[in-house]
Amino acid sequence: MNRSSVKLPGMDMKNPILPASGCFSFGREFASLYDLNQLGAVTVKAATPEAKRGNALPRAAETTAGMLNAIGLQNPGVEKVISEELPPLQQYDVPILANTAGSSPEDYVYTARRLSRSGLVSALELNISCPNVKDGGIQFGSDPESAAALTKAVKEVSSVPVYVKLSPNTSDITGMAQAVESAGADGLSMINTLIGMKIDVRTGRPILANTTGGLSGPAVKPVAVRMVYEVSQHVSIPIIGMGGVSTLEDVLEFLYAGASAVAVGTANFTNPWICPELITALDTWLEEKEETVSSIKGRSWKPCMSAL
Amino acid sequence: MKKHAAVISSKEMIQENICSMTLQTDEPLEARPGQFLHLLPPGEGRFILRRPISICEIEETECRIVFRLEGDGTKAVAKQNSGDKLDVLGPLGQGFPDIQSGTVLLIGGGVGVPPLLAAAEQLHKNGVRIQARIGFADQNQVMLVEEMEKWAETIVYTEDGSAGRKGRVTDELETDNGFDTYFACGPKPMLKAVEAKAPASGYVSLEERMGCGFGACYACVMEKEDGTLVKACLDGPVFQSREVLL
Repeated sequence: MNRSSVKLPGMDMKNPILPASGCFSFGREFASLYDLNQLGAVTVKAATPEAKRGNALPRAAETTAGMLNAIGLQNPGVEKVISEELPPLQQYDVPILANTAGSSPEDYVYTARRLSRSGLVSALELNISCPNVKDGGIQFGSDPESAAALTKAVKEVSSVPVYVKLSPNTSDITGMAQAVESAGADGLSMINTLIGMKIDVRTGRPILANTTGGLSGPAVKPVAVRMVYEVSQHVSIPIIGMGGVSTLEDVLEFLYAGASAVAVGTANFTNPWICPELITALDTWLEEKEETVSSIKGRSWKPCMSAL
Repeated sequence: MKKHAAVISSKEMIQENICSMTLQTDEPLEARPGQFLHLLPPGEGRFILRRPISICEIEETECRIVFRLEGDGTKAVAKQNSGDKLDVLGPLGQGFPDIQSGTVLLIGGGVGVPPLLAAAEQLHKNGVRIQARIGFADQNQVMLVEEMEKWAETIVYTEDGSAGRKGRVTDELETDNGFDTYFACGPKPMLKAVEAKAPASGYVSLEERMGCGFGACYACVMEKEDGTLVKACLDGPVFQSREVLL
């Protein structure tokens, strides 16, 4: 029996560990370090209809146990993503989750149609929560009605399952999750970064050229765990949990909170071998405890079955 | 690129805020002058991003780094002592070219000087004539002068004149015709002045804020003159002069 395997819409995963979008580029840098076949899935960097050059420097800053970034969705545009970035990933027996972003519903529909029909991706991840570009989709990420309308429009054209990546920068994460679920989303990714900023006390000015950026890393993990815990009890679609994962304990927390799979983001920058290391650690743990990923999912809120 | 558990074999504060450290790795780093190490400051999870520190001297499994205490991360590294371990990723990036003949001028400002020492040693081995102009804010920042003088005809500058010549490394650079190419490392305004004044073309090493250090995060993306985008960590930090927009 394979204790680690997970079956999600569009993605048959050997294990529940995958890199998060934006933290793995298009895989090339990591493919030279380890065999990507080890991964549960690969999430690639967001594609937009046209190429995006990204924000001015500085684009990144460190905070206590966290990182602020304002890269600005730099990518070569969906056509080049399809022709140059995705083909090298086809050699691996690993599902590919393609992140898409845009500034209008038409942008999302366009990239979703192109990517899903390229035959190169297993599922789409709608980035309705990038905090770092003007009109970067976050307007869809904070209003349940527009998020639902966008999800519905993308579902109509997509030939692969659609995951919606939710922003924590909202007062009602459960309402957002339920809205996109009823619009037809096949799964959820949560959470994207929290909007933050850092000021250089020597100059008195913001460090990031974009002024604000997305906060990620261990600092945001408690927020993410809480949101996964809450949402997983109110939706029936699977959740890819993420936010500050860097240890086996973090992975277990997200699974216990109710996530079906766990994405690793910022930790890939600190330790590029983190994903295979976590996969091995989880395998060992499941073996020792005689557990499976599906048996521990949602343990924090499910009634204790063994007592019956 | 490999991850090393490097052991600190010696540490010395060579100025009030400048730390010199010798690291021992279990296998040769095989680094080129101009390449850098990506150090994770020890801090039990407090630090998330590594700090790019250029290599100052290298021999087999031993390498020396010299860095300024800029913030909490570099301070945490400098607090470590002989025998302590450091989580090191590297060597990373593209180094200086392996020039085999002629005269090379090394132009360094502040903590831009350490990687030029590694370059000087290599150039000396290659039989290249080396000149150096190294500049500092004041006498309390001056470093590596004796080491540089071993390999190069060296002129030291300080902005306030408290050591060496009063002035900047770029003073009268436009009339200096004694070199065929140059290697420059230092703050951006200095590099801009070098590119504008030097009568020959050369190579510049950039000190950019980096994230991952191996091309995955897009934090250090710079623009080339032709509009294409490059990553300072992967395509640099050494570039041909005027190749990237400073």
